[in-house]
Parts: sequence; structure tokens; C-alpha cells
Amino acid sequence: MENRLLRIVFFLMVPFIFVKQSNAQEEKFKAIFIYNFTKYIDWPMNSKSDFIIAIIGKSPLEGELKNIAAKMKVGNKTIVVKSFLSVNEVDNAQMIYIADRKADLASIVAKSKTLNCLLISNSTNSCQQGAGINFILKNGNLGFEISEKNIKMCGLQVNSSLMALGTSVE
Amino acid sequence: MKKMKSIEIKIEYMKKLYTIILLVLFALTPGFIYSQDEDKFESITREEIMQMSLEDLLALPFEDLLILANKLGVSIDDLLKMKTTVASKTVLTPRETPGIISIVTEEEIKNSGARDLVDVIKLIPGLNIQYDDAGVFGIQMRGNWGFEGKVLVLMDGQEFNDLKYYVVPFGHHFNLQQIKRIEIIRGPGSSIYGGNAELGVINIITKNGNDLNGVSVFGDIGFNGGINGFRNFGLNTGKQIGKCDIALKSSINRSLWTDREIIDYDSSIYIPADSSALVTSYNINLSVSRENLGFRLITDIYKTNYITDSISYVNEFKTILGEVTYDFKPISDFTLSPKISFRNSIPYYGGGWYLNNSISRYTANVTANWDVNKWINIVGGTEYYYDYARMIEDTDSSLFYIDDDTSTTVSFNNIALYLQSIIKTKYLNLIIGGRYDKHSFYGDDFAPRIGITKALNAFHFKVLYSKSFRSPSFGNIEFNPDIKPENTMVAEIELGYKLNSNMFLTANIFDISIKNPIIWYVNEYDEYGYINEEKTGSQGFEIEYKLKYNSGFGTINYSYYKPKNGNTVSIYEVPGHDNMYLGAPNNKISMNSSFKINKTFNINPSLVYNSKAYGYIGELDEYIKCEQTFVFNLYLTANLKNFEFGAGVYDVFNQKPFYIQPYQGWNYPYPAPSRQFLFRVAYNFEFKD
Repeated sequence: MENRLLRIVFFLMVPFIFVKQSNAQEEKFKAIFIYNFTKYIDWPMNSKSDFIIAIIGKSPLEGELKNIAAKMKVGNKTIVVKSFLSVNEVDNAQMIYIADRKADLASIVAKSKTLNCLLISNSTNSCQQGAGINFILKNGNLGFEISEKNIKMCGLQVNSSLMALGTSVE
Repeated sequence: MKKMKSIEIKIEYMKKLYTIILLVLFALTPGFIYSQDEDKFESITREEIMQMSLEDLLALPFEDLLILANKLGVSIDDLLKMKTTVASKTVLTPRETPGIISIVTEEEIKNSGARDLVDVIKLIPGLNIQYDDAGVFGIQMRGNWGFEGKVLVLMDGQEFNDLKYYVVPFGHHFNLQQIKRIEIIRGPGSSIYGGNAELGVINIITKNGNDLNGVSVFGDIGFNGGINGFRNFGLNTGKQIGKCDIALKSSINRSLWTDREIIDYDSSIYIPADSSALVTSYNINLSVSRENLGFRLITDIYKTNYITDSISYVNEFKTILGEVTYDFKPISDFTLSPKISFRNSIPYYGGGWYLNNSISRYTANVTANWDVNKWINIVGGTEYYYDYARMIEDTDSSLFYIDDDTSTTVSFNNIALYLQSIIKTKYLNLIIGGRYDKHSFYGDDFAPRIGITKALNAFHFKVLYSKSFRSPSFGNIEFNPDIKPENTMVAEIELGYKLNSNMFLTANIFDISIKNPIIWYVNEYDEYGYINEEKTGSQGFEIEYKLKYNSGFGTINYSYYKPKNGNTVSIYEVPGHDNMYLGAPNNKISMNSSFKINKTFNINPSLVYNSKAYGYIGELDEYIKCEQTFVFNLYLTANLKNFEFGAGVYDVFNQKPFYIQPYQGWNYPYPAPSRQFLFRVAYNFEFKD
């Protein structure tokens, strides 16, 4: 009986396994991060058009971004948040956020180069596959990776301050 | 001559008080202070970040936002950076507050599957629950019997101990669904709380309107051995409307103490039934606050059944607490908090006792809290209370006998002054303070305290030395008008280390010396009453390891305690076992953990181990050994939309522990319930803004 009890206690002492779980506040932070990125990037854009953020796939981030869009502007431009099921539907955007983890990253990277837009992702190693910025979650803490090379390949200029704030990936 | 002696004692106490005041003034000199630069987000907690609005976050520079985002993850800082006031009346973190404290969060309570406060207390290092008499259970603090006024219980800051014996009956009392947090000082608290906080303080903080923001209906039920072991039901509702916060919490409990045979003092055996083991309790807690003004009213009825000599009795405790508080801020960094409170107790009502009294306490208190500058905080105040006791029924058995004068009413009063200074420097925080009480019947007492604490990155330390006291109660004075307060000196050292962002280890050693302990005695001539014995106390250490991850949390702790050398209270002793007190195991291990299976389900194992302990059977003049117990519990929770479900097993291996009378009395160890299955459901309806 005692051995049995000891086995149970030993089992309970095994360190806990880390499980990734997002929450509403995390999505709010991501949305504000995206808004802040706009302050550090130069777009070759049409002065008359809105500032368009395209979201590929469904995400609670859309609601948070729309809340920000209602309150803030990028320069003097109105922020417009649009949601798409496929990158093929996107014909104009300054930012693309990939919410759908199953989306074809290669085709989205290609599109971002065509549209001169900042590509933001939310999955492991996506900066190595062409994304400009990738959100990272470590022990529940939010940060971001940034690839200057990928951003420049989309025809954008990135302020060095942003490079210092994120984790640089080449 | 007696008067001269009294004056000398007063002068001595006043000298001590002046010494402390001089020390505070010395501490105010600028040369003593080191500058201390802090990260502006150092003290912000994850909970506070989680509550920040979009507007707040948008207003921050990106650099600051990144710092906050780096605190979004669940970490041990959630516990270490909590703000607590229980040990100092001013806001400090648990690592720097001048007390050895435990904080139990709502999350920990909910996931543990605890059936009542007793199950929560058993998870705290150094604390246990034992049996007193007549269906009443009390607390054991670090090996010392903490019954009758030695441990102060606060509910939302209001003192809960009854006013006749300063007793708080534990067990199926205080519904856990009402509780937001429990703060426990496992050491003395007299320097700020006075004569009922000699060995510890338990501060129960319930949910306010903002916490509830809706209606919650809940119930739980437990079965064991074919018996319906316990049933709890309740309703909480509350909301913050503008600047006004309103909360109403209510609960009903109906339980059996045990499903096992109860043995009477003469070895008669009783089967547990309503007549012999039923406990019922009712509680309503109403609070209304608007900005700095607060009002609270608590009513509590607690009835416990017991059987002896084949006669069933019901002991009833009725408590009414009310208070009005106001925080007045004439200038920034200075708060003046007047408080008026009322407490009425009818303890041990019925039950075949000669104790049918109603006692009321009217208290006026003013506390000033001043942040002199970034490094110095001073708390000071005064408290006056007036006690009025009366017999409820016109029978001889209800009369007070004080000073050989038979009276139907008695009144006392007490005035107290307290002062505390916290000086924060680069390498240590110095806490010095004390409380002076002058009681109209038994005279005065002084409880000074000095502490040095500091958190230095991952490491923290505390060195604490306090004097505390236990005020004689009406009940004590009634039996013995010459009774004096018991006085306790407590030395504690705590070291803690944050191993990483998710793990924390802490350890402490303590030495408790109680002089003139107030002891209930019965001699060979069947005379009984309260006397001041010479000395008692305990020594020991406690170690606690905590983990907190996104995927769950865990706490495991070990406590060791033994009698202090030179104990003279023979009714606490176990012959042939000098290292043990009656009813007090030397070793205790407890563990509480929670594993997140997915967003819906949590599995929560917990465990309480107590080493062997001894009880005493008065009728046979024999000691009885209660073997070690390894009580393992498993509880599963599920959160589905507005519903919370829970199911679990308590005492999975059916260890069947006992609650032991921790002194030479007449009671056999009282059987705790055997393996018990529990089910819980709560429905939470959230109000929309």
C-alpha cells in the first residue's frame, strides 16, 4: 500500500508540461503590436487610399484590430480591417496577418512582395520562410521575431528601432 | 502596594512605547536612507495587466508595451507580487511583508475541491484542525493548540471570534464559493491586531460586486458510506454600478461530521446521525461601497450537534458583524481611515451548557497611513471598544460570576494605541512598531515587533521578532477573576529563492515561547476553571515549494514542530514522548496541484500527510496512538460556458484520520469522514455592462 502511495506522489512531482493557450488579452496585445508596427515601417503608398490590414483566416484579432481602427489612424489614413479566406482574394493591403495556420505560406509571401505589404505571421519558423514579422509566445509571454531582409524584399523600409525591439532573424 | 506596582508596570510599558517612537524618529533622518531606483513596471501584476483596457494600452509607448507583454505569461510572480496588507496594514508583497504568510487564491481553492475551510487550512504548512469538545473543532498553529482567542479570524477585515471565549468553530463553516482570497499569518499579529492574534491571523476576503458582476448559484453534495455527508447551497450576486459596488452573498450548509462510529468518553459507541453529528450553518454577507465609503453586514448562524451520555445536544453560535468605514485622503500619500463596527455573539447557546450569554462589542477605530516619502511609511492609530454582556435566559445557569458578585450584565472597555514604521532601504526594509492595550478589568499589555525583510532579485529574507499576547475572555474572567493575559515571544527567520519564473522555494524556522498560558483544568476534586500556567510553546521549521505554469500549478510543503523545552503544561504532554504534544503530529506534508488538461478540464490531486499523534482518554486515564495518515484526494473540474462542474474523491485510500483533542480531556479522538465522493455545480450568469 505504501509503495503504491509513493508511486502516486512521485508521479505528481513530475514537472508540469507547458501548454500553449491564448487568451483575449493576448489577442489585444497582438493587435496593438500590429498598430505599433505601422510607426516603424515606410510604405510606398498612394496618399489617397486607406491603410488596409488584411487577415487571412478567422481570428479574434479581427475584432481587436477593428476596435483600434475606430480610434486610431496611420498618419492621416483611416485603418480598414478586412478578413479573407484566401490570399488570392487580396488585391490591395499594407499589412497581411496570417491567422490561418494551414494557409499556404509560400503563396502569401509571393503576394506580399507583389503588393509591397508587411507580412505578419503567428507560427514557428515563419520568418525563416519569408514572413517579415512573426509573433512568438514563450511561457505565455508575447514577443516578436523580425526579418529585415524579408521586409526589404517586399519593398519596405524598417526603422532600426523596431529591429532593436524584436528578435532579429536572418 | 498593588496600585504602586500597577503604576510601575504602566511606566515600564510607556518607556517601551517611547523607545519605539524615538526609533521611528531616528529612522526618519535622511542619512539613514539609500536611494532606490525601481523599474516602473516592477510591481505591476499579471492580473493588473489582464485588466488593462485598449485605451490604456494604446497610450503606452511600444517599449513599455513590450515590457508588459513579457509579463503576460502565467508565472510565479502572480503569487509573489500580490499586494497584501494583512501583516502590516500597508501594501507590501508577500516576500517583504513582516510576517510568515500564506496566500490562498480563489483559483487554488476552486481547483482543490476543498469541501470547506478545514480542507483549505490542512493544505497550509504548520496548520491543522483538531477536536475540542461538544461538537466544536478548532485550529492548531505550528504545534500549539490555537483555540480560544489565540488565532484571530477576520472576515473582510471584521473580527469573527466570538466574544465569550474568542472561539471560532471550524468545519462546514465559511462557504468557499464566497471567498476571493485567504491570507494567513502563521505567526503573531498582536502588534497591529491586539489580544486575539497571539499565534496567527486568518483573513478571509470575500468577493465584491466587481468580482461577481452577475449572479452565481451553486451547490455541492458529498456521499460516503451510503450517508449523505454534506450539502452546501448558495447564491452570490453583485455588480459595480458607476462608483458604487454592491455584493450580496448567502449560503446554507447541512452536513454530518462523520460517517464513522463516534466513541463517547465512557466508551459508549454512537452511530452518526442528525442527533449526534449534524452541523448546519447559514451565512449572509452584504456589502455596499461608494468611492471611499464602505458598509458591511454579516450574519452567521452555526449549529453543531453532539451526543454524550446518550443525550443529544445542539451548540449554537450566532454572530452579527457590521461596520462602516471611510478612507479620507486630505493630501496625497496620506489616508485617514475611521471605522465604526459592531459585533454581537451568542456562542455555545443551548447544548446543555451554562453559557447562554449575549455579548456585544462596539468599536471605534481610526488608522492613519502615511507614505512620508518613497522609502518611509508610517501607520498609526487608536481603537476603543466597549463590551456589554448579558444573560439571555433568566436561569441561574446564565449568570456571570465576577469578583464574587452575581450579576446579570457585565461590561468592559479597552483602549489601544498602535504605531508602525516601515523604512525601505536599498539592502533591507526595517519594520518597527507596537501596540499598547489597556483593558478596564485585567490591565494593560504591550506587543512590540521588529522585523527586517528584503527581496533582492530572486532572493528574499525575513528576520522577525515579536511579542504578542492573548487577552483573557469573559469566559476566562468569569471562572478566574485573577486571570492574566498570556504573553508570547516569537522569533522567525525566513529565506526564499525564486528558482526561475515559474518556481519558488521558501523555508523558515520559528521559536514560540508562551508565558502564563491560559489553561482549562479539571483537578482530582472535580474542580475546574481557567488558570495561568507557567510556560509552553513550540519550535520547528516549514519548507514550501511552489510552481505556477500556464498548464497548472502546484504547491508542496513540509512542516516540523515539537514542544519547546521547559513546557510546564502537563495536560499537553505525552508521557514517554517529550518531543510531542497531545494531538500534534511532529511532521506534516501537504500538496495541492492542478493540471490543465485542455481549456475545459482540470485535474487536481491533493494530499495531506500527518505523522502519528497521541490522544488521551480521560475516563480510562490512557493514551491512544493515532497512526500516520496519508489522505490523498482527486478532483476534476470542467468549465462549460456559464456552468462549472466538479467531481472528486476525498481520502481516496480511505485512511480515516482522526481529529484529536490536543490536551488531557475526556474525548476520544473524533473520526473524520471516510472516503467521500463529492459533486459540485455552479451556474454563473454575467451582467452586461
